[in-house]
Amino acid sequence: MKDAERQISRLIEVGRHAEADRLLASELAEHPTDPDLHWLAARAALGAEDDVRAREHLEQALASDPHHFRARFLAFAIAFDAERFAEAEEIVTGLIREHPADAELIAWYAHLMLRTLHVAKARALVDEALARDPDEPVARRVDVLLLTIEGRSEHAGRRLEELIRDDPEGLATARTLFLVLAERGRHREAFEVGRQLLRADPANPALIDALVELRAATHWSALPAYPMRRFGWLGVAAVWGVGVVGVRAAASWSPAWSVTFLVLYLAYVVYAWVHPPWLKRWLRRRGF
Amino acid sequence: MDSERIELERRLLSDPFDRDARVRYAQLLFDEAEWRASLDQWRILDRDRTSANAPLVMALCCRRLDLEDEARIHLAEARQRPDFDPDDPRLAELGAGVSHGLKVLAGGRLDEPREAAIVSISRSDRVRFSDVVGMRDLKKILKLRIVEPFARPGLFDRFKKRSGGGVLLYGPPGCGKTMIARAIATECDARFTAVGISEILDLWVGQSERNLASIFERARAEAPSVLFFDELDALAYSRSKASSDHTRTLVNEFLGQLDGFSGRNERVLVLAATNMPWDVDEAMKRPGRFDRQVFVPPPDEEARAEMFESRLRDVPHEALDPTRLAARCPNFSGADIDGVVEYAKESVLAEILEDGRERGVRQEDLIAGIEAAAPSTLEWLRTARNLVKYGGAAAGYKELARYLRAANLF
Amino acid sequence: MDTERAGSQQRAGQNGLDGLLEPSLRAETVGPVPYSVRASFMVAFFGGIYAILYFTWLNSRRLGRLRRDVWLLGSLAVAWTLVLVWIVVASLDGEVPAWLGEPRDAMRALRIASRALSLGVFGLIYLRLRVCFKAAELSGREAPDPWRPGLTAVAVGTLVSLAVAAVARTLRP
Repeated sequence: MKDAERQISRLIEVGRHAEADRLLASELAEHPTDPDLHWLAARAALGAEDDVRAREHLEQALASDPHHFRARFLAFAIAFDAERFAEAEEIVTGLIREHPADAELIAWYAHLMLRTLHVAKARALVDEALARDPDEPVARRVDVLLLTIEGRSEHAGRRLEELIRDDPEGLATARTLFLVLAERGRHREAFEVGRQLLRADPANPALIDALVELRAATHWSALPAYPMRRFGWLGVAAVWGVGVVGVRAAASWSPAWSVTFLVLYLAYVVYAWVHPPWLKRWLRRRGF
Repeated sequence: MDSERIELERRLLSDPFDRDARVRYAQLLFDEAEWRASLDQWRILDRDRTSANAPLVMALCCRRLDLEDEARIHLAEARQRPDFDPDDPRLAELGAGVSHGLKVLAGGRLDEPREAAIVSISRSDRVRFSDVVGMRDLKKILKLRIVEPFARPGLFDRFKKRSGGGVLLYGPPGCGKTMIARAIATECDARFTAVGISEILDLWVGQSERNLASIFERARAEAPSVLFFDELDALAYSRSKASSDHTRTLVNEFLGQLDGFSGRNERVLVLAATNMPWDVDEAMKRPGRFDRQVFVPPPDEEARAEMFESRLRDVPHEALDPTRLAARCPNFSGADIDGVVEYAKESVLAEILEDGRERGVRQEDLIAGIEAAAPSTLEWLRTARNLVKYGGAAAGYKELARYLRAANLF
Repeated sequence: MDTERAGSQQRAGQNGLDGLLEPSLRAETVGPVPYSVRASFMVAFFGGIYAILYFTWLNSRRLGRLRRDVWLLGSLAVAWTLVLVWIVVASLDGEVPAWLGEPRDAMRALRIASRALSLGVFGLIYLRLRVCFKAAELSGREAPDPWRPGLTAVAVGTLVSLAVAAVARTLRP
């Protein structure tokens, strides 16, 4: 990378898009068809949330050099984020065909497959990526997610530990950890990791939603709903079964018991139904 | 000239959004040496913040009105714009050196950080706490926690309280962090050196780190001194978010300098300001570095009232109650209040030109301006609220949490 | 030798990869996301077996795996129809199985048994589609709004149950 490009790249990374644009303008005035500069301009525009300008610069980069790797990879990333998955697939498969040894590209394709729920293909791709480079970070993160989905918790835990050991401060690792912990029902730990993530990205509404859910699950007032929280829908079905059997048993004992049981049971059902949304609203208002 | 002016005023009345007419009008006022009026027009033109021309002319207006602080701010703003031309001849009048990065881009090469780029404040530019309107509580805190330990090290030594070290000022943009930093330096009676990102970030590999080291060395040599790093989030960007090695290397160098590995930082007060404290590397906030973090809130009621008064001092106005106005615009920044005053002036002018009866700005005009505007600080405050409300960061942001609760934003 | 082996491994790897590079996504879809587990549970609980089978059919079609699941859904539908017909005929003949209790309680017991069975079917289906559900959850994509298909499934389930019961009545000699 040339020095000016390195400087621009750095400014983009730290969110100084206006300064990056300023340097880019003077560089582009001298080299109007330089694909690297157009690629950087697209990144700066993306950072400033100007998707139209980003697309224009990408098109110019690719017009100057149709094989420009970084521009094509950025086009893939844009399509991926915008959920234009078929377009993303077309770009990434084209790149992989040209660079079959690039484990990161294969890992990204696996990530795309995971996101579009092609789990078996994602697994095959991750295996390919890890066979090429066992330390490839994207492949390792997707691998952990896939192991969790496949229910291979022990393997997932081990791989996750390795990931954390190798990159303890990486946000991407923390995000993977957060997802895995939440999925495994380890709400308290997931909550703490989620809070750390929010401290790094406080304008993320999806993360706040997830934290509210997790806090509600670990709140003391949610303790009576523990069976349902711990065992999920199986727990709900069991609570229903207990109700049916309980009413019958109480009725066979004495009508008074039957009424008492029914009242208590209905109170519990109402609590289980009303309490979580109420608690979430309250937590959202009061914070935690 | 008069006929052109009347024609332009007529055009602006019939269409206040006629940008071409407003540019010509603003330039005409500038040419006629009506600096204040020209400045107001350029302010309106600069709302879209696209071109470097408007802040440059504003800087010139301010310079001629002896508003050095504002001139510097406008000049800094102009530098941020994509069409900023480092060879613009007007820069000579403003005494602004060409920025390091741009000089290199233009083909030059500098091995040492140049003196001109680092803004040292002379005695005539000094800002004192008394010049910072309102914010009594904040000033009290700053005096006790920063100024007095620095100015009277002996007393604080006896109580085992250290002087020097790092202080991070954070808060929404446009609320006077830079001015407060300068006031701190003046109150400390120390040499003040302001450093922006363009002074540090360099094209050449390793040069950014050398620039930083050189700035620290100079500050140590000139102790007692105050070093002020603006936009700290860009210089010490969180390494967990960074993907390039350069960002990490610079943060490592910064940490080393703060820890004083290449020299003692005694009697060097390191101040920094940021709008995005969550982007600053966590290690920077650890003890011995920027362990004192001070929230600079939007101007309080007293400050807002004084701003209304000062903005309308030379403008025809009827009886006004600035305190009531200030009470109606909580969380407004200085720039927001400028917008309100401009809105009121424009609506009065429109009325005068329509019915021919001259009158001054009234309370209702300003209230209408307040109602038409929204505080620009709100977005920042809402984001920061997430930190303390959901992120469990209340311990590190106590003053912010207190402010949010008091402002009913929690 | 090593280079040769590495080269052959690379070629073998590439050959394995070639098959994986066949496109899996179509331009007109943004990629399927199944209706949530919660929606499936509600449909099973309130709509019964036919409802959850219909709802799973919709989910399976969304995920493009209908061919893989259709035999299971069909078998369950046929099995439940046979059971339902048998119970209706038996109850009309006054030969209610003992576990259903007294004939006057038979319908209530039947409702409970049907609900328990439909929850069992839900469990079976969850196990089958678990990977898809978990992948959807971890991929962070939002599940589609289940209200319309859910209510439709409950309505379809109720109507089919009534129709089967009506047909079963005609089967009584």
